[in-house]
Amino acid sequence: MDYNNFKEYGVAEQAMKAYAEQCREERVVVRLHEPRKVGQWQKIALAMAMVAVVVGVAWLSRPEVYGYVNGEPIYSLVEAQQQAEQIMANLSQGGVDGENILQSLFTIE
Amino acid sequence: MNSEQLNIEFLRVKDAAYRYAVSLLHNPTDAEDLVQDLYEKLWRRRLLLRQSGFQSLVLTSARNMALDRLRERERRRLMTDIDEAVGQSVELKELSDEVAIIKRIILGLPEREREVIHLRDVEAMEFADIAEVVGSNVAAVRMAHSRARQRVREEFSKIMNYGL
Repeated sequence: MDYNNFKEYGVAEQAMKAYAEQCREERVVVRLHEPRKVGQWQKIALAMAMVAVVVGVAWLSRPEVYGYVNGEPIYSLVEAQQQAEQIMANLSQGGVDGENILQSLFTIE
Repeated sequence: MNSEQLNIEFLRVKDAAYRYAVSLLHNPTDAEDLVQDLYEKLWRRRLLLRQSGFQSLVLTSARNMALDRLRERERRRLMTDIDEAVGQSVELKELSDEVAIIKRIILGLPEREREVIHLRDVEAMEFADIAEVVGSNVAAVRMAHSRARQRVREEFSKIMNYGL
């Protein structure tokens, strides 16, 4: 490579760089799909709907009450039957004051 | 990728895709249309897209779409023989003489060399990424780039010495 070529290659490199820089400045405008904005009222409505669903599910899945002993609910059928049998047994033995038991069970005034 | 992520990622690479499309199609308007169509295509498939390798994906898709359009353009040109379809060229904006010469030399390079020199010298991409975009291997891309640079230097030197 002679000196002249070397100089021209240097100019070519410079021109190449300038070309690349000019190219990099080229921009294009595109129409983007904007994500849909969720309004405040939509958010509130969504939150209320979710609360309603949670309350509904909780209400529908509440346990069944089979009876009360000393004011406490009994959720198990087996336990309720056992309690009832116990009371009946106590009553049939007559050793217990039936009225007191009934009072404790049903709060007879 | 959701639509918001796609928009962010796409805005980051859209100009590179546009410049690449211009370098392939030689027509800024067609390149703009291509980038818009490309975005629509990606948007429809956004849920399947990942952030890693997104630039390569976009440039590869831009390349495929550009090649399809070139084929279509050529088919139409052959069928209708409209002269003006041939003469679509990149408008030379107010460039300095040297840059205009470089641009003309690059336009005259074989397609593969033109692509590689654009992706490497304008978009500053790694050889491995370029290989992925153009569907070749790193060694071939390196060689094409080296050949292209050599050709540009020689052509430039010839023009500067003996004129156009």
